[in-house]
Amino acid sequence: MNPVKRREFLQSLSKASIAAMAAGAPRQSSAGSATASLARYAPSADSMILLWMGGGMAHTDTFDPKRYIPFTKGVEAKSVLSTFPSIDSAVDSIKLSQGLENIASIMDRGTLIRSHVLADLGHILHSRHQYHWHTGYKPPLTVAAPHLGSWMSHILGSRNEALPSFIEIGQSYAGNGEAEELKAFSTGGCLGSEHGPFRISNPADAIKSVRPPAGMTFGRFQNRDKALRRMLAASPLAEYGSDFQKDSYLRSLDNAYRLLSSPAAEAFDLSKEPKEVYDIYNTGKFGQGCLLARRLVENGARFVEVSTDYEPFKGWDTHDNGHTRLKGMKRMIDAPITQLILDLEKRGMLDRTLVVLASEFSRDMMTEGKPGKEVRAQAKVQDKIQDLKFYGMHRHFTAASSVLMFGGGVKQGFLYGATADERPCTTVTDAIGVMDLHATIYRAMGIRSDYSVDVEKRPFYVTNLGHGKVRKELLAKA
Amino acid sequence: MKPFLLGILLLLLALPCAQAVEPFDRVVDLIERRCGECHTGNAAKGGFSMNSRQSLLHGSDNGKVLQSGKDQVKNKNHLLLDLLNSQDDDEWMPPKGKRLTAEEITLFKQWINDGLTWKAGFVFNNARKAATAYLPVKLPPGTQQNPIDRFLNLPTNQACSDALFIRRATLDLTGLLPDPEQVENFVKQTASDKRAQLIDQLLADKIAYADHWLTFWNDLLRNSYYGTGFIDNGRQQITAWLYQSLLDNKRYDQFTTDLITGAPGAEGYIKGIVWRGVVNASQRPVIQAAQNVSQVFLGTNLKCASCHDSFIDGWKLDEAYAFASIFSPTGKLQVVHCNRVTKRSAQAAMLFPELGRINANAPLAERRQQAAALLTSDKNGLFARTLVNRMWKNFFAYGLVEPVDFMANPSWNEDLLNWLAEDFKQHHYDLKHLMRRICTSHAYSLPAIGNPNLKETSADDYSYVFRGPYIRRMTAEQLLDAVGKITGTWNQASARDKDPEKKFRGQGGQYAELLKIQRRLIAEDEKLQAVHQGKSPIELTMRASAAKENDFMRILGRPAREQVVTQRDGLATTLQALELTNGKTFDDLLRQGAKTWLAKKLKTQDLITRIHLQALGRKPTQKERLIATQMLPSPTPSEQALSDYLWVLLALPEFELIY
Repeated sequence: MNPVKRREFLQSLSKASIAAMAAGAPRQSSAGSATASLARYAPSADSMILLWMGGGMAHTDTFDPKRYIPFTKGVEAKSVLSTFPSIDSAVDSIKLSQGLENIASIMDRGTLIRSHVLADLGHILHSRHQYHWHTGYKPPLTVAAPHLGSWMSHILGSRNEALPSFIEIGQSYAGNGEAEELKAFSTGGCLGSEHGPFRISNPADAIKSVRPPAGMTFGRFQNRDKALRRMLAASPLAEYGSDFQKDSYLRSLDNAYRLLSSPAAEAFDLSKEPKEVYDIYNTGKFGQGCLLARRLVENGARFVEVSTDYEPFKGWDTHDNGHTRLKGMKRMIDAPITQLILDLEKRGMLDRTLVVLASEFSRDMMTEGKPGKEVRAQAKVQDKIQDLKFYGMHRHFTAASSVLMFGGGVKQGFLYGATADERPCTTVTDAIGVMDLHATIYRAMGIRSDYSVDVEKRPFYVTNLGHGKVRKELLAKA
Repeated sequence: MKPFLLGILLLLLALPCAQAVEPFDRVVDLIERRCGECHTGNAAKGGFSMNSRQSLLHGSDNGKVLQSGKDQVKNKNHLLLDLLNSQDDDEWMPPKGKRLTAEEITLFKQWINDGLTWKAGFVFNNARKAATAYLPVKLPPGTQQNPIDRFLNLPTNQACSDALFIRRATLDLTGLLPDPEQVENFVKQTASDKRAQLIDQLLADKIAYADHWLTFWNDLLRNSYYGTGFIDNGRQQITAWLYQSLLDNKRYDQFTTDLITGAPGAEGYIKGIVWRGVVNASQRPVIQAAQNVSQVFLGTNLKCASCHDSFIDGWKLDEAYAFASIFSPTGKLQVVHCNRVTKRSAQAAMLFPELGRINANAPLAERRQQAAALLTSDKNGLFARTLVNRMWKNFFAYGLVEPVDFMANPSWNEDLLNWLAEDFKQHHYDLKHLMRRICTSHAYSLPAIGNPNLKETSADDYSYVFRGPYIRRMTAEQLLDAVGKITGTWNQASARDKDPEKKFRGQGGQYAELLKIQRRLIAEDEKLQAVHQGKSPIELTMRASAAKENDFMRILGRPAREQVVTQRDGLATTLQALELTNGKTFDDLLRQGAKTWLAKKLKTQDLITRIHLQALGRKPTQKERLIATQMLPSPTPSEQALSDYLWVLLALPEFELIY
């Protein structure tokens, strides 16, 4: 055997042995030995919910309030650091921005990072920063980088064989000006489409995605499946001998049927929720998404992302009217996120569920990009603000951003990092980039930050070059 | 099957292009990162080279560095560990950068305890590069008509059935299922060369051929109708040029020249994908051009060498930059090492200097002309071999060289590869000639076999022996077109796809371009007019290859075309099965399909036969007919019953797989 063949052989062998090791984990509900041996760390969380504040959430108007200057005609823009007053939280040392009273009341359950520094990618394009945040890699690149959720699906598999392991809620693509850029990272990438997201654009319709097609009764659905089984048994395919592709195909059909006929499918049905609970969550699509995420995690989902639905110039992407629009955005997230945490706690699941709230960068009234390296501004600023619509954080700011974490082994009532109290309100201590934040998240999930797969004969890591460093300070037991 | 085995299958299904990294690979990675600069390749500081296990055990000028044997960490005599742990500034290793972490040192320790395991044949930085020369091969003697068969020594008494053959060949060459009449006629024919005749007919169907191969080349050339980069005018489609080239069966050397020189309509290939903002030096458009040209046309991977000297083959950073300089406005580039600018400057040069020289001072357009001429020259056997190998892989699912983008690897049949490359050149780089050669071989007529590469679990020695084509999975496009044939409902073009006015920064409009070209072709060609007369307007039968990617196609494996893609996922996924089981898109198609079949007013038994023939390319067996009859009450089945029956047939693996 020549060296090359031998090497290929060994590679295919390693593929198989890894597969064999991990066989128990994903959909075979038995043995979880693989998880431990592959992941190396004992996980402090089994599931993760990512709450995605798409569009750039201003830190000074949400989780890192600074000097508040109310709007008056002619107010000097550069004097305004926050457009809302601060409020107390359950933790003495932590103040939040007005409008987040509910979250403030549960700050004792979570860790607040105020020193998240985002990549310096030049002229801002939201989806490019979102790509970086979700994959850990800056596009373009020569490998199709997998989404955080795809890595978890690939390494940890699903916790419940009937549920897809990576579920994405709330992001819409149709008619979205950056749809193609968003799709570029909402993907299993080099891990294959099996690890791509199960997309639910509208949580209110989620149940449709796990029910027989519209207009088909369950009885008919079952009969159709039975007929298929009979047809398979009658098939002369056997004449072609054993065939791996056929077997795996049938396996995938089994999985699909299992989900569609499983009690777990009820998790997708928001109407099954008591009205009083539903009403607390129901601030719209995002709130419903939080409720759906809770139901899915309760039923064994591995990774769920709930997005505020990024669309250029909408949601958190406040190029104008920032102050006014943020009132609405805070109303949209405050109650459901709080209820999500309380519900998980009540069910005894918070300890094993990591909830992370993040955004691709922050915003500021004056600085576009980062201080000292400013780039072409995309929002107009009045030096003396005459009109309320100019009152708000309208420029894209990458030098500091807030991240909120709950459960899953992170510290409680903990504040990490700080930003300056004067403009440009940039990170002053404990700067943490996407790579180390990811390493810490992976660590909580039990995954090494230098876990890698072989793509075109070179290793491709969960964090860039495997260099992500776990910030143990954030973890309760590290 | 045991649940455990099923688990393995399932996991593999999840690993189309990636696999978890073994401990040895971690060690390799660690050595590359922290020791490689001084102790691998040509470097052997202190007389110590870690290139191979042998050199590793040989030690350094200061004696042994590592001891072999199991559980040797307790043996204190490991210079390597001493130096890694040393507190002496003058001796600790590695001298540059941070100290190794405790985890990294543990990795070395584990490796020592494991007895310094080494993958057989592995050498760091082995200077492997593909050869470019043509290697003349004499055709072996023999009675077989098709030269391919003389190289393969195959049993002549085996061949797949006619029904399977027509399904396989029609899907392979036109991407479509054969119609029931075509299958029946073909099976009935008695001519001894009927398979060859069929191949000729299929290749002559220009439009179907171009519609089908559009997918293959779109993947390879990263041609996407929508995608990243367009938003800032950082990308350009080459759809119209590509489609016309396929219709014309443009010579492959000319086809390549067009792409490299940026002929009208083909400019987008070298332009690459440009995202807004600052990009990593190794992803600037000129470097993308170098990476893509070398990968697509030379089966040579420059992705590693775009940042640093490659660890997996012999390519150097400076060589990659010299090749990229061909596409730079000045013919020069400042070399950037892992995103840090160096003091070195690269001058435009071919990747394989033996192919000839580039005048670095010539204007850009001229340099690109020179590069195209050298690349496609009759001296460059690698150019022909790379393409021949891609085609072979396409028809047999296993290349003559694997992986297909690593042509430096030896082939399991060098003579066949070289002969086919020479034959391709002799026939003026005619792609259809090459396809005809392959598809008229007995090798291609053999029964399909399971692909062990998708499930290799045996510890037995494995090396490839050709026994026939591997069973393949339809591409997303083939599957959707097959569903179109069966249900009579094809992909619908969106307004933006078919209206050039609605193109948005270069996105969309692709179907309008294809229609324009098709109409012109039909107007000029009487034979085509005859074929298309009385048929539905082609607008109604838009092939999936021309359609915008949607969720359904994505789940079936159509790639985003951000990277060069030379292989689709070989295995179905659960998300796909879900989409087929309850997806609205598919359900609507089935209902529409039931209506279409009912409108034909066939007797139930005829209906069963026809649908079966259309979907699977064969008549139902007795047992199958019985099940079908129970599902479809006579005399006229309801639309609902028929759509359920269609679902059953389309959910069979036999439908999705190409045998």
